[in-house]
Amino acid sequence: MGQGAHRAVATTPRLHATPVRTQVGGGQYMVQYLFRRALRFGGTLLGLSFLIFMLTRLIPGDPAVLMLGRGANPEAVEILRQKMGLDRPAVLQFFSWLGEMLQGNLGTSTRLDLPVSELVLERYPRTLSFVIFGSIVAMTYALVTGLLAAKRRNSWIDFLVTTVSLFGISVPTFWLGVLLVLFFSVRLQWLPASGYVGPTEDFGEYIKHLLMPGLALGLSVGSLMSRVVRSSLLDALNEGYVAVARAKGLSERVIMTRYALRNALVPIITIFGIQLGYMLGGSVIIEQVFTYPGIGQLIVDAIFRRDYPLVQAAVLAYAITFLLVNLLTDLAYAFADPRIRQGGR
Amino acid sequence: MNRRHFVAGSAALATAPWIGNLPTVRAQDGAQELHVGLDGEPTNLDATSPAEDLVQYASSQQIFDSLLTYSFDGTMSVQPNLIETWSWTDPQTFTFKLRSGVRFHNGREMTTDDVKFTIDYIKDPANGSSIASFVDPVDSVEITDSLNGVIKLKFPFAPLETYVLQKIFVVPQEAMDTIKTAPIGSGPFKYEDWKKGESLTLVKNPDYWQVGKPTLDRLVFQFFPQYQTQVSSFKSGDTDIILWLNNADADPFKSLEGTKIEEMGLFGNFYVHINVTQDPWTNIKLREAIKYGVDKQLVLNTAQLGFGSAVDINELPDSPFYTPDFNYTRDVERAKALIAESGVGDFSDDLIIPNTPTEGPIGEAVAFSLSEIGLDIKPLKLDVPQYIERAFVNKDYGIGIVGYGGVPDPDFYDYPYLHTDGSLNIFKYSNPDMDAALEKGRSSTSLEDRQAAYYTVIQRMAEDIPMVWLINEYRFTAIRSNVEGFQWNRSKYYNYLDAKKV
Repeated sequence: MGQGAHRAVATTPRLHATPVRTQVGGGQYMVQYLFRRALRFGGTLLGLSFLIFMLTRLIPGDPAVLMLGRGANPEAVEILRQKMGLDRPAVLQFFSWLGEMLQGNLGTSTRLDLPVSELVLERYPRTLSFVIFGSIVAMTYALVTGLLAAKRRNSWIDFLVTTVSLFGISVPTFWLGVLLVLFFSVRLQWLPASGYVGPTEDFGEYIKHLLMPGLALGLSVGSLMSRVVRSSLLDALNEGYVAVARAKGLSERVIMTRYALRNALVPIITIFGIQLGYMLGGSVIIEQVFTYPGIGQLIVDAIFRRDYPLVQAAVLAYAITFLLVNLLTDLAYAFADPRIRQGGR
Repeated sequence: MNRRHFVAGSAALATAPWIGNLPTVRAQDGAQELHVGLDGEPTNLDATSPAEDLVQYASSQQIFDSLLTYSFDGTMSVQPNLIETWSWTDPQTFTFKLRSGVRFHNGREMTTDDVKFTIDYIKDPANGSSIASFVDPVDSVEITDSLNGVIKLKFPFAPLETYVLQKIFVVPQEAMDTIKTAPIGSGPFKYEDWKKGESLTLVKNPDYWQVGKPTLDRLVFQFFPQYQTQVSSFKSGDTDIILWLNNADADPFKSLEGTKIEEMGLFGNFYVHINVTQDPWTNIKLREAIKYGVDKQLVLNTAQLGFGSAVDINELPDSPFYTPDFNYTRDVERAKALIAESGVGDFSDDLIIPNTPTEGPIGEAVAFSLSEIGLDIKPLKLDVPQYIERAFVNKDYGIGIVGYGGVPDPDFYDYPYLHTDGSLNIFKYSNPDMDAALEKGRSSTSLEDRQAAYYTVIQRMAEDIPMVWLINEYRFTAIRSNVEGFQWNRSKYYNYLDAKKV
């Protein structure tokens, strides 16, 4: 992101001579932009489905063997493989899976004999709960500390924020998770060490169970984001338009939020979009640490049990979420940077 | 109010309801409730196919009843359960009478029909039962009347009484479509709720045939794929029992306030298994070198921190089939000499190991001790299904490590593994003397005849060396001090009938 771009963003709205025409052109462009993104979304999804399906089959170890345990003998394995449809070539298996999927049938868990969609949908909101909670923690932490550090640059606050953030970035989330458990569960006995309670069952318990996983995930991402917020803000504060704003006598608060932060948003959104994907991935590990029954734990468990249909559906749910986050990030650029929605690039 | 106060105030407001001395989620009604930590979640709750131990701990042993059972003392003698009385009409005919008045949780009375259905269901290969091989010797189940029946065998098979009927948990045929997720049995506890990835809740069966039992109102199994989380949960008071406490935690837990530790050596040993048809392992001198070269004390120290004991044969000292005649000590020089004599020259191979908390370290210790006799054997840890596929299905390996969880009858772990036609003969081992002894062992009902047969089996194992026995499995269980009446035995049967909190 060049420095000239920041300047352009701040000045563009005031310099447009024919705002109406621009709006029409921009609207058309937005439709095209959305259409292109949607097309790419569909193509990526198809490719991903194929990859997920094939990779699942590449995991060494046969599901039929696992079901039969150590007492498995070749004849029994063969009969079970036929029953599970695993005796056909993988590509044929993929097309029948794809066909079924297009009709809304994601398959049946070999382990539980239940529709996988039911199992995935049960877990999905739980993971989303703490990832969203983690994002709020991350964003709040990043904006507050990043703003403070940028505003009081080279002061003790800046130094403190930088040190704490460096710690947050360096420490692996699972270790932070274990520390939280040791402190809040084992020592203080304030928070439950593991598990999940639904919001409709008991809202207080629901929040209690979200706190530590969300914190562990949010603090490490927040630390990285805090550094990005700080440096983007500092870049923006060095710009000419900030000097102009100051000369015009605008308050520091207005300069900080309406000028500097607004222009610093694009890199922040980019990194946050990537980090949200990272958080989804990280949730797999966090769920193991807290025995939190989300979709990450479901995947790990299904892989160990070679429950192919369940692995496929759960990984696909992750992939769709990730693609959606990317799509939303792209749209957020358009919101943050008028040149994008007006066809500037 | 300035901004700083606003931020601080909102943070305090937001966290206030959550901070405080939070009670764990527990029964509020004063009911007798026990929370048991398991080291993972059962695959499902299907008692006809317990592919792993967890299915038995959480489902079979609590929701269902077996036909016969074992006592919970060290002797593990055969006890009546659903079958009240039995007799052998001849060595191929087992006549039994069921206990009357036993009801499934759906209210229907259990009959001989259900016994026949269960055994036939397990036998049918299309149902993919992990215990199908156990009922292979059964020819048919004949129904005399609703409580009396006869099990006809294909050949004389004494172990039907000593371990097979203990593995058969009777299921009602009208409830097979929910057996994996919401089973109906006749056992002391009824299925109530399964929160996948989290916990399984069972409630008292008030109509259980053992009147006045169980004492508990609710039995909750909590699943912990991560061992450390399970330990934290126990310490923070969320669970009352850690069913399988790591050996490394045995000493720290002994001094943990409000906790008692129970420990025992199980029916089950770990061993090195060798594919006797694959070069260079066809060479008996090389196999003998392994026998004398493995450092069993190192294996014991590495895998079980010295708890338990090293073993030279599969029978344990308190078994009626035990003999000290084939004990030996490690001899590194002899092992080196045997390698030289064998003439196999320089070679290297992988030691295949199922990657479990116990078998993993055992494999590493074995590989290390073999390096001391000059062999280049690399430990190769495989994911459990991958290991099973290589060792048990394809038999495509040279040397490996495995353990078995057993029962007090040698046929269980000898016949399927060592008979030429054994379904689990991972050694590809074949010896007519061994086959004859194994057949005699399972068809005789007199203890003396069986002792003679299994002496031959032990002798053949010691001389032909398809395997090298390593150590006896040793387990610890952590129990909160206020829990009484919980029992377990050396075959990993866990009993909560009399368990209660005081």
